[in-house]
Amino acid sequence: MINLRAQPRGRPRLARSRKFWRETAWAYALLAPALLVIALFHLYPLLRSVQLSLFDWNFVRPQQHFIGLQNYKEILQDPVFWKAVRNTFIYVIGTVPIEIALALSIAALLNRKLTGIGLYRIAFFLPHITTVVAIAAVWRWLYHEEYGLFNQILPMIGLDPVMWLRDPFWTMPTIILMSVWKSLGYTAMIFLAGLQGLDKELGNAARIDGANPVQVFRYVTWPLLTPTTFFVSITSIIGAFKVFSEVFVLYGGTPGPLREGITLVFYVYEKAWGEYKMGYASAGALLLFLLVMAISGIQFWYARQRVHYD
Amino acid sequence: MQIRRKGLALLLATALTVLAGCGGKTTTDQVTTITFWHGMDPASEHGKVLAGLITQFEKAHPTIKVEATFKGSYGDLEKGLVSAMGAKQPPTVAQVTDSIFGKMAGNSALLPLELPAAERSDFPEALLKLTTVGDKLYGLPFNRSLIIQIYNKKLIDKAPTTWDEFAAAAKTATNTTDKRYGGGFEANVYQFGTNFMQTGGKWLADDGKSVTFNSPEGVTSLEWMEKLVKEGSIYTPKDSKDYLSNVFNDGRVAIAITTSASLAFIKPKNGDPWDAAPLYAGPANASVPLAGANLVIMSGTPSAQQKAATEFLLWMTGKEATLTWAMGKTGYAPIRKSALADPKWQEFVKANPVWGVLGGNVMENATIQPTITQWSTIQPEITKAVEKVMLGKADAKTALDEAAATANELLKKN
Amino acid sequence: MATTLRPAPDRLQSASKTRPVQGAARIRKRITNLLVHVALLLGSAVMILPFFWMISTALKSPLEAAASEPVWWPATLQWQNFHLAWDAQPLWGRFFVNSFVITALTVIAEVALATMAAYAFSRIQFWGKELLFTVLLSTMMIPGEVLLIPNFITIANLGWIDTYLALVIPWAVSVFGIFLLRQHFLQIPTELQEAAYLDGAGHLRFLVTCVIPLSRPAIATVMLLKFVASWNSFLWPLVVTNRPEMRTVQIGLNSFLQESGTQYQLMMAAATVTLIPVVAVFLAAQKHFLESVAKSGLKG
Repeated sequence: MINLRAQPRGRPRLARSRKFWRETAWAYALLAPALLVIALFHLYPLLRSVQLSLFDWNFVRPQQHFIGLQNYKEILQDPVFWKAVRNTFIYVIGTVPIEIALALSIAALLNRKLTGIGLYRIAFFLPHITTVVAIAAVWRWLYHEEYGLFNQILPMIGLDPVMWLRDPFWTMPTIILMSVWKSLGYTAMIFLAGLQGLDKELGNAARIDGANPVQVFRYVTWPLLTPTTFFVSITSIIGAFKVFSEVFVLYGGTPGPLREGITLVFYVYEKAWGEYKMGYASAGALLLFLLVMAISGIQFWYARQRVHYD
Repeated sequence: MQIRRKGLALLLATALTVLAGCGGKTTTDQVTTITFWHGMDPASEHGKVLAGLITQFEKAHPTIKVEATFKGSYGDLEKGLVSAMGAKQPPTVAQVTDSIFGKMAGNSALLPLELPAAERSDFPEALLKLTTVGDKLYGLPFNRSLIIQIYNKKLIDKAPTTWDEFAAAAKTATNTTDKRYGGGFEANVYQFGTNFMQTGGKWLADDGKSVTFNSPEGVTSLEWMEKLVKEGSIYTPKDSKDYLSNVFNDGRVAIAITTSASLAFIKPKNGDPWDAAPLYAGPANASVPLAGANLVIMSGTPSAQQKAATEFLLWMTGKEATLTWAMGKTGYAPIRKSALADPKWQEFVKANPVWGVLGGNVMENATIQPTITQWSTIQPEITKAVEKVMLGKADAKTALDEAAATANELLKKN
Repeated sequence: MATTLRPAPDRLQSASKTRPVQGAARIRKRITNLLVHVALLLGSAVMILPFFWMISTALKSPLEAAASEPVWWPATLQWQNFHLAWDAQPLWGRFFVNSFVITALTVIAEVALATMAAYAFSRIQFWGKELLFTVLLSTMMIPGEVLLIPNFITIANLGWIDTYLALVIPWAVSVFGIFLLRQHFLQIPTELQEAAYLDGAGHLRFLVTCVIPLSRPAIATVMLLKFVASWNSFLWPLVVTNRPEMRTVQIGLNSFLQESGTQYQLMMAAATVTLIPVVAVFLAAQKHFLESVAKSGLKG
């Protein structure tokens, strides 16, 4: 019987050779087309960014000067950069946990054979596909100082209206709220696919044994869902660290009042497209990259013990 | 053998395609082709006018062919332009706003223009200054709109001509029961600039090494804005899409300080009569800020195309073209002295008096913000100062001084 | 001994159908369903607000669309806006064709390439697996804004400006898709794979006859998300195309944006029509979420 699992330690290397290398050949054959595309259009630009970060170049002037780590030094001394780091962390912490919790709950609700469930599913998915112009217009209205919905409701519960889009205090919260709303359906979709892929038999067996829905979820569904949850956690955090377009769209191309909504990618964007400092912007992007790498690394390490695949 | 031959053929074909795709600027026989990137979608009104002008140009110049490409909004166009320069395949001619112009000129990306004296003198002097860096001209104004006053004739009998008149008119026309504001302007860095220029202020010191927008004139300008808004007689847009023209149409503002590009969209909901007037004058002068864009030739254009590109620029900013823009009710003003003197323009203004606001000698008073490369980082600091004052978080002098300190640091960087 | 490779039906489910359901349990089920309906309705209402605004704006008059205080429902429905929006841009037909072709090619490429790659990462032990996966994941961590220029230069040097190649190839596969599918493929029991191997099936046959059918929801998700991403992409097509005939619907939607005075009613009319294919694809794809997929065909 051929054991397809990882080999236990102590096996002589020779026994590994032929089959292992044949498998490797198979793997790379299957990977080749994808690797080609990714290498050319995702990896190469990444490496180019690394190279550029060591230069003082804007694409407009033809010359470039090698300046080593000076871009990095400048960035790490820029208070605006650190503000962007702080804001980005606030955003990640503010959006990811609540989004995962809500999306999972919604997916659980959508994972039923109800009449019209298809319509509900698409309703939740609509924010992801509706044109961003419409989304921005509606949220600008919701946040409007005079006739916006939120400021109409606040007086009803005895609170003063808020200058949602003009008060720097509310800048990050307004962005977080709109973002969570926007990505809920998208994330729920992924959880839904995960839930659909689960073995119903185990859940049914637990129910027959007398478990209530909460227990079924906690002891059966959740552990089985960990591969999907892990995926959502990684991709949501990576995505959250790259937050930019929500700010750009809600605040009309600016990082909010008093620039309170500046995020890491917004910082990079301004350096690249506002000042044409491509080398500097690349250095900023790489610092973000390292940050995300570190955090993802922690997640992977944590997941090793917690994620069940089989 | 077969495969190798096919491979060679494929290689040759690819090489030829790459070569053919390079630049898009070719000279075959007598026809010179130039590429032109702009920000006016062919399906929009402005885009149609532009397309018409290009066709007219080609008819008048049979040896020049223009490949025009719509490259999105000005922001997207900038991205495409910078990317193309990175790939060393820029277009020949591009339409760029003042801020983009400044960055491009400062980075030697634009070709300096040599104009015949007759053409040069046909432009208002003040206008050409806007596209001059150092002592060289790097572009020509193309579609320029200006700040004007749009007012409701039922509520305002005479358009204000001074700051005090505007403040007084705004106060009188404010009616809280009707939820109507007397005046309306955007409480942003542009309105600050409008005021600042009219006090005779200067953005930068003469040696260009420090900023001077925190001068007493600057403080006056910002304080005036603050006072009016605090008095409750001014409507200020709350977000980027809150257009004053819409607010005016809804009858919630009696005098709107806004761009002439919105003239075509003015249609008061309740049918009140309205009119347009030139911007009021300030304590020191009657300067008027411009918006819109210029035409430039990218440096690196081979000499074979340079002549054709220059002709294209001159024609597209020439009398016929500018009259087409102005009389097409786009809100873009005539930029040639000969156009303003042309009987066609005079008749048009007689028949459509509202559009006369684009004429007169307004171009002699034209101003824009500085075109130095660091301005894209300095301007947000001034915005912050204005925001702070409008939110009541600081007084004008402190806020402007803070912004100036940061700006002076930014000026040191290239 | 013929071991079937097809997943067995959920035996427990058919058993429960023959058992009579208690009256109390049935009422409880009804109440639960009602509560779920209410929750979903409230949630949906919040989610579809911009969509509703989009449709209502599409039917507004120009004045209503531009009003500074929002109008929620037009006084009279201006159905001609759709006609006007269509007329405003003579190349709509061409735009739709381009968008369909590019999106279809991209989706097919993604499904093919990501499935193969995910399979390799999940079902094969090979040299360099961990390192390679890490490298691929890391490409997700860099913001796209700094990748635009290098990619554009690559495309320009390849001579692909104004071609479908530029619009499809860079997006032919995503690490996101590979990662998502890998997570699902990892959940397939190794017993199945061993059984397949004993049956003489190689990797390809196992992939096609076993892995893919068992992962329908995941693959449908990847297809759907890719469809949306491709259909909605704007900046890249704008930057790599110059000729209007090569452009896409999203670029066409920009027709109505002007310096001041966007014609929202026309733009939203066009946007509504642009949304229809996405909705259609969604409704088709989400059907795959209703199939019950049992994984334990070998048990019992």
